[in-house]
Amino acid sequence: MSQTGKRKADLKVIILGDYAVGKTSLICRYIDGKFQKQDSTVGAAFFFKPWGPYNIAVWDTAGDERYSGLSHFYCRSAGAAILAFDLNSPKTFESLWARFGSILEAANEDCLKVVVGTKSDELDQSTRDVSAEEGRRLALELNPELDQAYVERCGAPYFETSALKNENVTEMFEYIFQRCLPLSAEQQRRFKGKVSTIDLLEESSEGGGRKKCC
Amino acid sequence: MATDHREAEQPVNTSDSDFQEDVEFVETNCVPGKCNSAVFDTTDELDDLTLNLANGVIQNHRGTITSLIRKRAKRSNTLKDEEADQDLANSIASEEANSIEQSELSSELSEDENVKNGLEDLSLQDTESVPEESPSVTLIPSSSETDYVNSLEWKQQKKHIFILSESGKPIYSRHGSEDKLVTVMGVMQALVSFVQDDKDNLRSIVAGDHTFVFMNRDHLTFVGVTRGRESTQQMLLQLTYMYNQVISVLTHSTLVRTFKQHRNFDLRRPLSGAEKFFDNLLNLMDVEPGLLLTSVRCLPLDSSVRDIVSQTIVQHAKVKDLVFALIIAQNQLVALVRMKRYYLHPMDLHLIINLINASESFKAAESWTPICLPKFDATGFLQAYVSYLDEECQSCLLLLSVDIEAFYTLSECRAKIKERLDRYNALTAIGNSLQRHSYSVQQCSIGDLRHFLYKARSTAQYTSPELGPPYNTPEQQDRLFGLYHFLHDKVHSVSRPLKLLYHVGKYETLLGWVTQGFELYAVFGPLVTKNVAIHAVNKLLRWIKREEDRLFILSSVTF
Repeated sequence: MSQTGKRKADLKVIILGDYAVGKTSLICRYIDGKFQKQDSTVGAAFFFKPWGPYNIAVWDTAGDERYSGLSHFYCRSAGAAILAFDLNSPKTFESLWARFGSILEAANEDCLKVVVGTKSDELDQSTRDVSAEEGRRLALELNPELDQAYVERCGAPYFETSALKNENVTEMFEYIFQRCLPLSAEQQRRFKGKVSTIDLLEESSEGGGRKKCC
Repeated sequence: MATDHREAEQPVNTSDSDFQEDVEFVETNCVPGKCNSAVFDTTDELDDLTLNLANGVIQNHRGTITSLIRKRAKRSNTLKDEEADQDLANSIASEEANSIEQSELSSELSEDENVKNGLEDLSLQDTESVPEESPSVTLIPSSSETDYVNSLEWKQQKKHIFILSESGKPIYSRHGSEDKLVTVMGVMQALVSFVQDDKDNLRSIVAGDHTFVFMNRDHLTFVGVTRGRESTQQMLLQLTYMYNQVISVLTHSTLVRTFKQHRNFDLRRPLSGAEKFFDNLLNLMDVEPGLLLTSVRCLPLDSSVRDIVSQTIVQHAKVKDLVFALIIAQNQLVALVRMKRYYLHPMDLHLIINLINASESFKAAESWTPICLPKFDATGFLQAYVSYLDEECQSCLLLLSVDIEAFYTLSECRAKIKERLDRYNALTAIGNSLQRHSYSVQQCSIGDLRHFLYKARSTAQYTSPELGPPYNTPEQQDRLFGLYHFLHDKVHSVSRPLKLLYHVGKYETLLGWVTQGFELYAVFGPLVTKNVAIHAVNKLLRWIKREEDRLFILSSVTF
């Protein structure tokens, strides 16, 4: 939690989704590189993370309906929104349509909406209620501005993740950043070192954690 | 002193008038923790309760937030961000809409008195028409539900608290899931409605060891069941805290509007996720005397350090629309800075402490959350910026603003405040004070004094030593707390309030003493005579007086 002077974010990412689908776990997996049991979020929580030459602001929000008064505040000028649902609960998937569509009207016009299924480690493929195809379809419907070629090249903004097993979490965030803050070839070369340093750090802190466990 | 021996020889429960002589010996001019400029809003909740046993909201600054928002709107006419303006307009419009809707309730809503009457009328009308159609009353319980309610574990709980809607819908139960208690709550609502049919109010029922206390407010029924030593009055105070917690989550306006639109509304939905705040508040009430005394405990700190902390806040959080700024460490107040003319009520502060105490999530990141402070203004939300200042997550900074957009500004304030406090070693000083665990009763060097609570009435703050032997086990602490409840109740008895009470119990001798300036509750060993006890509390008062700079916040700091 370094808090130095002025902080100007280049991209604002918000995460939305029903109560207890694992929004905070997802964010903490990416930011702190570890998984731990989370107490339910109160209101909205603010995280700050550098990515390459850029600064990313992440708003983690509470899923409880009583905080809907805050949504206008954190959605405004959001460049990307993660719409999280629990892969094991079709109700939370339906909520993405019912609850959060209207909330997102306050976000940037070109806001990238990423549909993210959580808790894939608990998912039994044979009995799953929400198919990957449905998730993909919702993701494409929410992002009419994504052209076919881009989707073919980079994939649809749909991910099935596990914060517990660290599956697809980094990939999902990288997808967002690559799309919203594209690095030029020159920048990529210059900051590649930096970007991978962050990755290495995450790897190493995680490795350390594992050692302690075993 | 010699004249007093005659009374000391009969150490049975004596009180009031015989005591006038003793009072002469007491140095009434010594009032530690006294402060001429008010630090807190010191309206006494117990007085309120006595005066306002009838339903109704007690508010001091009703509409404050609206007026503050209006002020802000005027100021920011030149605001560049159109959306922000829109936001303001919306929030004002919604406030106005609320008040319009409310005024439909009764002819004139601007005066609290009328609100009260209006609501009462409404509740009477409702209960007259509702009982038969209430679904829970007619519901036939399945066997598993009956089993649960009949389980020994559930029955043996020391204190139950229930919240239900006027139509008997369960909203909250302290023990057990509320939807398993539909039948029990149906019975409760039936009892309440039955009495209300006669244009009367059910206040309490005593059955064996148990006392049932009922409170109706704003379409909600609060029921407390205890077999502890809390009196009806004290239970009513606890239920009021629960009511305040509901308001804190929803605001009074929303609560009234919701039930006006749908009388059968299931309030659990908007309250979902807030259960932990109710649970935690009830646990706090069982261990924290501040709620019983409606006063605040300050972290013992050298006044120079406290000055540095509050001056740092004044200098670096001088932001428009910031109403309160405070630092809290382990349920104790470190510093409070307020906007001129606005005061924080201890009951509101307890809700703030409960918010922090009940949630681990503030430890992970800076947070931004709406909170309604019912004593400050029950009609709207303040926005709370919450962030811990140290790595160990002990000192928590709270900045309460009326501006929902202020987050980033306040985040910058926090960075500056933290930097300064680090430079002056103030955070280390706070940490040290926390580690020292307050102070032990031995430090007062008064033989036979085991524990005490001292409340300075003018500042609504209290102090008490840490719990040492024999009160070092949860059972003994519980018993001690029961003694304080007993003493507090006897002294504040509605029918016969006392100034001084000397009570010899089986295991300890109690002395309760209330003056205009303070309330003192002291616990001695069992063999202490009245004379010795009086002598001891005089000595204690002098000790507190010597330490008052450290134990209390005596100067009120404003932006």
